[in-house]
Amino acid sequence: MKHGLSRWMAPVWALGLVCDVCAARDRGAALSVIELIHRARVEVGNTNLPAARLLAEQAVAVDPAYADTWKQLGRVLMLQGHPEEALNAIDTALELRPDDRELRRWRPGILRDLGWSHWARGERDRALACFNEALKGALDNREALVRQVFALLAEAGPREEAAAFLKQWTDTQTQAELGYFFFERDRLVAAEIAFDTALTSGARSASVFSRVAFLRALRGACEPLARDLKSWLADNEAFEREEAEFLHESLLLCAMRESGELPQRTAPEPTAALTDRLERLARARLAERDYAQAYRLYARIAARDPNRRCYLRAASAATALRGDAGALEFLSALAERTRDPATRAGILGRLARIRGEADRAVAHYRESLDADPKQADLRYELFSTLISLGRRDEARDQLAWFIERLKHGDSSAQTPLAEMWATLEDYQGALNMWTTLAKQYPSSAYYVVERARVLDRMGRSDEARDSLMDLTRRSEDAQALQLLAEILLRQNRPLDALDAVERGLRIEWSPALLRLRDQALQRATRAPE
Amino acid sequence: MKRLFHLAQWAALIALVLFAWRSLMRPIPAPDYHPDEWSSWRGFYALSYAGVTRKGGGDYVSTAQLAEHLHALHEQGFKTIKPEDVETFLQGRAPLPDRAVLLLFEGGRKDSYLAATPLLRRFGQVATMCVPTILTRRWGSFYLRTSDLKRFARQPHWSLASMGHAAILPIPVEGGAEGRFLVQRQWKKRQLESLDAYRERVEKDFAQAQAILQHATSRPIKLYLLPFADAGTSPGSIPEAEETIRACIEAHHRVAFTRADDAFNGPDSDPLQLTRLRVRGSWDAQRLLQGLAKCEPRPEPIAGIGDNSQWVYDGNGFAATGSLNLAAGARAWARGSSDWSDLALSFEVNRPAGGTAALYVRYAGPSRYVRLWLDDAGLRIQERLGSTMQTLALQPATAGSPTPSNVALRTRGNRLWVQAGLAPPAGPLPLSRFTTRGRIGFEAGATAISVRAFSATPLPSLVVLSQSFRSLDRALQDATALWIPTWFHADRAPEFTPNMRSELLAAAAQGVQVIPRIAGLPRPDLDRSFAEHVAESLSEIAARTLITRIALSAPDFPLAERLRQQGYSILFEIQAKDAHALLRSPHLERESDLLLIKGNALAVGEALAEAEREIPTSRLIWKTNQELALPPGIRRAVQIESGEPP
Repeated sequence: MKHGLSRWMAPVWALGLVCDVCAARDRGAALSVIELIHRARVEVGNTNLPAARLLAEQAVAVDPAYADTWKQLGRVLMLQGHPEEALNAIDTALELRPDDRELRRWRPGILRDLGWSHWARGERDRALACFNEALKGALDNREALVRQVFALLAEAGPREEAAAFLKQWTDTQTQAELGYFFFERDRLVAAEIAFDTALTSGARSASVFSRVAFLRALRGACEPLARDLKSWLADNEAFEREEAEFLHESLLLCAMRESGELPQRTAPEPTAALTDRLERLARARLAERDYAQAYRLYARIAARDPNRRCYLRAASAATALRGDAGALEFLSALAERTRDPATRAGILGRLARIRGEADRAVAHYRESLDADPKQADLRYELFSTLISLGRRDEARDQLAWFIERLKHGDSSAQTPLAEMWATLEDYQGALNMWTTLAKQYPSSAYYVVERARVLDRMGRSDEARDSLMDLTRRSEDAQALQLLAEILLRQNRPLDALDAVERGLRIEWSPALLRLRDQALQRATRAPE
Repeated sequence: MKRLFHLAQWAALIALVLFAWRSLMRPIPAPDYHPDEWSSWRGFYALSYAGVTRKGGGDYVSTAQLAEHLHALHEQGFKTIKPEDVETFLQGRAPLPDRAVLLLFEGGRKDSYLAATPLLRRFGQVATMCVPTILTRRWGSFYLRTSDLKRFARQPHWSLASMGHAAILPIPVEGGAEGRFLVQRQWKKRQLESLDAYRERVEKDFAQAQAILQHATSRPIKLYLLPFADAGTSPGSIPEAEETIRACIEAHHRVAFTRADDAFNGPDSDPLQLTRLRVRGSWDAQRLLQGLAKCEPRPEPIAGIGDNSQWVYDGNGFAATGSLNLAAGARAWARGSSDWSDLALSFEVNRPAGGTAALYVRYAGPSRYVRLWLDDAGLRIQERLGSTMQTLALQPATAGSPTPSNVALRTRGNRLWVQAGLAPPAGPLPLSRFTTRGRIGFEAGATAISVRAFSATPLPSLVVLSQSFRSLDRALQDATALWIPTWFHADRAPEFTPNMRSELLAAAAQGVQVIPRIAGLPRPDLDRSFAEHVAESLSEIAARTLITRIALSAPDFPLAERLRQQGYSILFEIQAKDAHALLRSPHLERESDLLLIKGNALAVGEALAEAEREIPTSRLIWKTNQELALPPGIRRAVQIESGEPP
């Protein structure tokens, strides 16, 4: 009789499905492998995965040469989130039953999960190997994996690796589609690489060109933009209005004056959509403390729409870049041009505060808020100003406004609230909020650092130190390293502190870190650890 | 005259005294019972008599019938054995005579004893009296009494066995009816006894019987005969009965007859689930011998249905013109198949709509078998394990694809393959380690069925020494029962590579047992930790489960001992000339070791002849690449040079 495994899994057969005398399951000296697998399936159905795993492991121990034992174990491990062990089990099952369609379908999914597991541990090459292997199989929703992995590679660099990955797993049309996808979500690096890959693969449309130009201009790659612009323009004569605006804005961002080469010599009227996009990008740059790019974008936003309520952030970028003088210059020029009373009052208030006239600043801020009470940034600014004046009760009124916003589901109130509580020395409230935010945004170092700062202030330095050490093991963040160094110095661990400082200085050269290095060096030479 | 009369009186008295003295002092002839001469590992028959009466009838045989039976057995070369022989045989510790038979007398009846004893003495036979001990305390002389048991124990022709204490008696059950002691819960004090009370009652019955018999004989009673052969699987039994009975038997006895559907018990029979043939009151000697012949194991393939002599029926059935016909509810068992294990089988069944047909393989009683169940809903492949029936695979019938009528099946080790109709084959399906061997049979359900085109062939049981299982050709893989790859060498640190794991899984998936071999032996200077390293290298779960034995390229007793300490059994590869010494060696574990004997045919033949008096033939392997006619039960090993080393 022919008994090849290859034909076994045909759908007409149903394997081990039925336990005819289920009531009698608890009897009998030893359970058969079929019974164990059946029970494991039942426990999976009951979402009792630990019990299911135990049963599946027992099944493997009873008959490790039967494919279904490994298959069931692999399934449970997969559901439990142990992709490496799941893959081993599934591979053994496949070895025993190479033509099992279900196993073939599961494997790529496990490889994908394993890839993510490696990625989370920083094992980039192993992760990529898993992703590539997964994509070779019949993976459900493979487009999503390509998109996600590509974005990660693009943002982690090098660009060439990301481009090669994209080219391996997508066609030209998909590359361009991914470019649009990331462009719309402000994931500029991924968008640019995807568009570039599409361009080299032959997608030379005006839509792609204009966006690539804009993306290059945004990251300040003006030279390559200038180099390629001519040939792009030669390829395309007709530009839609949106494309033309991208091109014009690109030239302006790069301070290029060769607009005569553009198909529409006069710049199109600025649209709110593009200004919004620029504002989002500027805010993101500011959050990443890329003050030069942030200021450059805010300058363009101010030029396009002087009534925008982003003047406080623009002023922060200007201050970080050029000190108070820079902020004064920027805000003064803007105050001349804005026609919006709320904006103008706010700008005046900020100018007053920079000049040291805090009481006057408060009056301007209140005027602005009377005109438009929904200005969260301005309220926070007012709060800070009131605190600096020692008017804590009035400051608390602003806190109440944010609490109300949070109650109405506005999550953007979380960060200012945490900062305000910390300022008001309500550390428990601040800690709760930072903890919530750190859990919501696990990839953001900022929340972890702020949480650690509050813990430190609450006298829980060890916890603060541990969380910072954990963070800095996973990612390099100058603020985190700085705070860590401060704590370590206080804990009389100057050598560890010095190590943290050195790492911080490799990321960002700051006076605070330099000061900490001096302190650490002095302490290290004084007392051995 | 008066004087003459006195003399005559004296003469008569003296004659009477002399007769009495001679009768009393005449030695009881020793039974024909010589274990030292036995060398068979095939198995034994068991016959049980419900009782022996003067006239016979019903379930009982008459004294004359019994005499005829025992005479016929004697004439046909059957040698009777005792319960302890059954125990040592099934443990693989001692062989039996060639045609061994265990005679059992049920019920502890004194008339059976009185009728059988002179016959046993006449034919030099031994028998076992199975006693329900509650009857030994009854008034009257119908049953053996406690005082009789003590005398009984001293008789060379008799052994004692237990039938429980009160287990043969009915008990009140729910609804005012009478029930069976061992398998039902008792109705007591207007309520059903609890499960715990049930278990306690059954356990107590076993213990009490054992205590009474042990007191009488001054030694533990090894054999238990289950009353009514009802091991808790009959209709009406409570679900807990089977496990309870099994546990009690295990706790109190070494061997037990729990079935009455076959006379033959092979070397791999479960000592606690043995079967015996009940001798009917109507049987003459010829019928008895026919009954035994039908149970005689047959190693040769079965080609075709044959005639009625090829089948043993439960219910109405007959075989004629190539067709086996079974009435509704009837079963037919293939003659001599009770010891079959690995086999290839095919048949065609004619089943009317609404009817059911079943094929049984490895049927070792109502609680252990593999079954193919065909009805209008489709084909189910099922395994019975105690009270649980498990469906291993199901081929549902559909409108376009009704239940097939032609089926092929193959078993090897713990694997099963089934091909039915045009559907793709199912398998390898896993069988439990409990379902290892047993009869082949058919059963008709609610309607009559007929079976045609039947064939069944025992699979070859080849031992293959090669480096790769996967590279063996398909036919050789199918013929292999045991694969021995050389994975370790005394000169190298043991290592279990991924390729070895793949090979192991590939072989085990086909039901083939794998025994890794250590080459380069003997090595007197071998590191003491080598065995530990072997075990460590095989600690991965698949290897740990599937590898239970290690082959040694030559006897290396210290290493064998250390491997045993790691939990492994041993296969010794030996030259024929060394067999004699090894068989005399205290280092040979007679109950578990395998011997692979190599050398020239003559020397190996002699070595095997000696070896099979010591250890079961199933543990003897003849390594030869020649196609030789091997002694029954002995396996052949071949060396295959091809195949990639792992």
